[in-house]
Amino acid sequence: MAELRLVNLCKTYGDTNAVKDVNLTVRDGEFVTLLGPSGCGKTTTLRMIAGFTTPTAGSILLDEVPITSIEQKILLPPEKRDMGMVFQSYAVWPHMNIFQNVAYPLKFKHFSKQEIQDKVMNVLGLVKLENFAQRMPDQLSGGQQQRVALARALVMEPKVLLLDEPLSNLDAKLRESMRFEIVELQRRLKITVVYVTHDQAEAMSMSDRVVIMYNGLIQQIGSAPDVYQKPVNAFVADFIGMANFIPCIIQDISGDVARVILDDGTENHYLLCPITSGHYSPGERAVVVVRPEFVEVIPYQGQGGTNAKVVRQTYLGDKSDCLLELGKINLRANTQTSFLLTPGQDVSVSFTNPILLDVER
Amino acid sequence: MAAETRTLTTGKHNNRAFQTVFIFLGIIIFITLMVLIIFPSWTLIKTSLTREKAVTLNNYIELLSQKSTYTVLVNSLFVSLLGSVGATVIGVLIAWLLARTDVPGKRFWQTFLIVPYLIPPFIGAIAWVYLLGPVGYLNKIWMAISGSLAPLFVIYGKWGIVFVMAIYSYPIAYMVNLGPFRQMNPSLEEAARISGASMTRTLRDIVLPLMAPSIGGSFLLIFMSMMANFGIPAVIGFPARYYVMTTKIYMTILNYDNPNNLALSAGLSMLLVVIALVLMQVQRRVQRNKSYAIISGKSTQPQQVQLGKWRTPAVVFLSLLVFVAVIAPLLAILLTALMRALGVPLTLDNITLRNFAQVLFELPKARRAVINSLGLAAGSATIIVLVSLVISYLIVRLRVKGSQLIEGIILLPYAIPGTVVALALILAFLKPLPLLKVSIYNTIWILVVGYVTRFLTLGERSIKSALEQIHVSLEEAARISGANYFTAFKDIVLPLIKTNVFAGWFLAFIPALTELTLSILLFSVNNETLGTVVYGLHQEGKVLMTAALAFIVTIIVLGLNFITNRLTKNQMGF
Repeated sequence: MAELRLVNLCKTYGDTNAVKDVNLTVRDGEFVTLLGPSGCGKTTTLRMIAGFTTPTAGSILLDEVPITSIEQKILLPPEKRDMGMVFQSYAVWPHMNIFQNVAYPLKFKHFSKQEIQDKVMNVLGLVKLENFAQRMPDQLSGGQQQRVALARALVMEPKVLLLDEPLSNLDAKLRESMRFEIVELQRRLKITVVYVTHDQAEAMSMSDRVVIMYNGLIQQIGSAPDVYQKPVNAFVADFIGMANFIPCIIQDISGDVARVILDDGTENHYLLCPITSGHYSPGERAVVVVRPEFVEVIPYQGQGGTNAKVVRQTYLGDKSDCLLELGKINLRANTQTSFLLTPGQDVSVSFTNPILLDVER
Repeated sequence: MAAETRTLTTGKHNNRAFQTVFIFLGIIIFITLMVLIIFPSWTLIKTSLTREKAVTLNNYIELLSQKSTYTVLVNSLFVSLLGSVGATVIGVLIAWLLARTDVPGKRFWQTFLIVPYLIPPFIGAIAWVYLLGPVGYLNKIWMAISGSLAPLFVIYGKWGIVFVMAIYSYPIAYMVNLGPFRQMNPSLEEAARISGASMTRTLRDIVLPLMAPSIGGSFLLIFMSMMANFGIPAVIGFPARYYVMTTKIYMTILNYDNPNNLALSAGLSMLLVVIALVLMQVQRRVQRNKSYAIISGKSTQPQQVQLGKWRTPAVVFLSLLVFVAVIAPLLAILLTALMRALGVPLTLDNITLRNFAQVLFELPKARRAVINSLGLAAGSATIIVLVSLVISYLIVRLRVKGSQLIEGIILLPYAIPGTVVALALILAFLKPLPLLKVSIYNTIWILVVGYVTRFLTLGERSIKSALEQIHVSLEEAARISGANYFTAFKDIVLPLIKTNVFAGWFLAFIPALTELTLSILLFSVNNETLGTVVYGLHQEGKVLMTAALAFIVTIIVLGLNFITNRLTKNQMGF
């Protein structure tokens, strides 16, 4: 049971800022995922939490007690942090059997033999490996080894569980089932989790909140629907799901709604966008973000609507992916597979859930 | 079988001819090796079981009833055991420091800590006599500082042998363990840390058990080489009348007063051979058991252990080691070589190059030794490379049945101690060869035979591994483009393994140039080598000339290694 707080956490390697001023509170029992492309600083952040990497500045508090604080010169070594960690490469010790692997953290906690036996078998039961206790790691599949790593991280009932891309070495099917197993365990044990991944589907499906990082900076913190529906900038919009970026110019603003003209070369496509963040004034340039599933394609309605030309339509099974030309802009749209289009055909499009964003970001 | 299919499908005469040439060469090599390796081995065994032309166990009975046999056996085991423990501890520690920690100046240490491996052990031993002999530099400095009349430590004897052996063998442990340390997944250690283990506890519970096969393998490798070493116990042990197996065999061979000297030394040799072969089997098994030392896994970044407060002690340790193992011995040799006379104070007036001039131009046997050793080493290395090419091609490409047998045979002279190899050659070639009616004993040819058979496996391994790297499809692509076997071999295979052929040549050339163990038993007047002359000058007490020649040899060896390193682009040599 623990709350983890990162305050102004920074890490620089030479001239490069790996992590810049990260502030984050992971609530007790919360599942938080650090998500971003490689090199975004997510793993560095996790390793600073674990105590393997020393931050350049900032502090980390566990239940309001500093475990890392550059300002106060506090740096608790990893073994004193009461955390569990699952590594990308499993890191199951090949010279110990499964029982010994899982029992290892208990060595440092003064338990009786019987208690160790009970705790290990209990946690092996949680990961469905109770019949494998005496096996050696090389007799186990990748998925089973990953479960051993999970059991080992959980056996000492850590305050925080850290997972560093734990599923990226597994094959696709196994990855999906492990996702649910991990979440189910976390819900059952009500443990605080920090999870690192570059896989957005993993992040969206598992987490209470997703922290999207890029270039060492936190871009957005929010629930899965939040970051998908209300991205705060173009990076988040682009990184989470597919998105069309349409440059536009603000015409006028009334209340929370802006009327914009799409900068697609036709100068006669208008759109109403809700303003969720930022300040805009008429004449200003901005970007409208529209997800492909929110681009509705209908047969040509004649002059006046928003008209586009079909470039190609690709059959994907559950839907069709459609590439359109909207003036000088390429537009992706999802259509029903039964709705057949031919290249060169004129169509009318309409946008739902448009998101208005600054040009700069 | 694969070879047959290929011939059938192409059906060209020259391809069959190509194979026939190789197989013919292979048969010649095989017969030659039988004469040069198997025949001497057989003679050695036979001699150990013969007395007055009758088959008997009397030699062994006599040896096993002498206390001195047990003494030298125990001495050998004692110095080898302690020496290899010391060398392994030092080597493993360096490997860990350089592979897994943030110790500063890694490149510097990597270059300099390897130097003792390149210096011939007997020259290292001589250098330490200059430092810690009764009137050695370090002892003199100690006496001057402390006012004591007794030296601090006289190197002669078992502790000196242990010390010098450790100093000149730790690079083996370092080199063997560096790779496994580097390849070990750091997450394995981090998982222990986050589980609650401290850094030292992690070393004990995780790192050392995982490294055990590699560390154990290097320990046995060093132990074997120490059991077989002649130069160090000869230089450091003789003055204190401290004998080990190899030096005892050497003395028994030279003890012409005893009519049974050769039979007895053959018996002693067989004891040593049995130990060496058993150790080799154990070592192979330990190293094969490596399975888990290298566990794969994509690790984000190899995190280095932060030494923290241990940083300064680590740097002090490494600096001390560079001083003790590299700087002090080389400086001792150089200073001695530059001295005008023995025992004069070290001033600029007393520095001279006369010793170099004397040893190179005024001492005929030293000049002969330079020429002989260069010629012997170059000739042997060339023969080794040519034979290795044929053997490797037979094994890797043509997969001729029985060609692996050749590999086993050529390992023998390298695996058993050099002193024993020399004795076997003496016994086999003392009399003229049965059919040819020529004797190579007391000629330079017995040295050629000794060098080629002893170092053949070094060249063969280098060339074979290169050939194995070349996928057969590269040759096949040449074939389908119109080249026959000969042209494909010449245009594709040879250019691709060129570097390794050079490397194999140098790998054989360098140890042959400074060889002592075989040469000291096989040389004759006019056929001196660098090793025998340096050793001889040292035994005669010609200190200044010994130092001058030893320095020249050291410089040549270091220079050759540098060239090898450049030629192979850092793959071999240092």
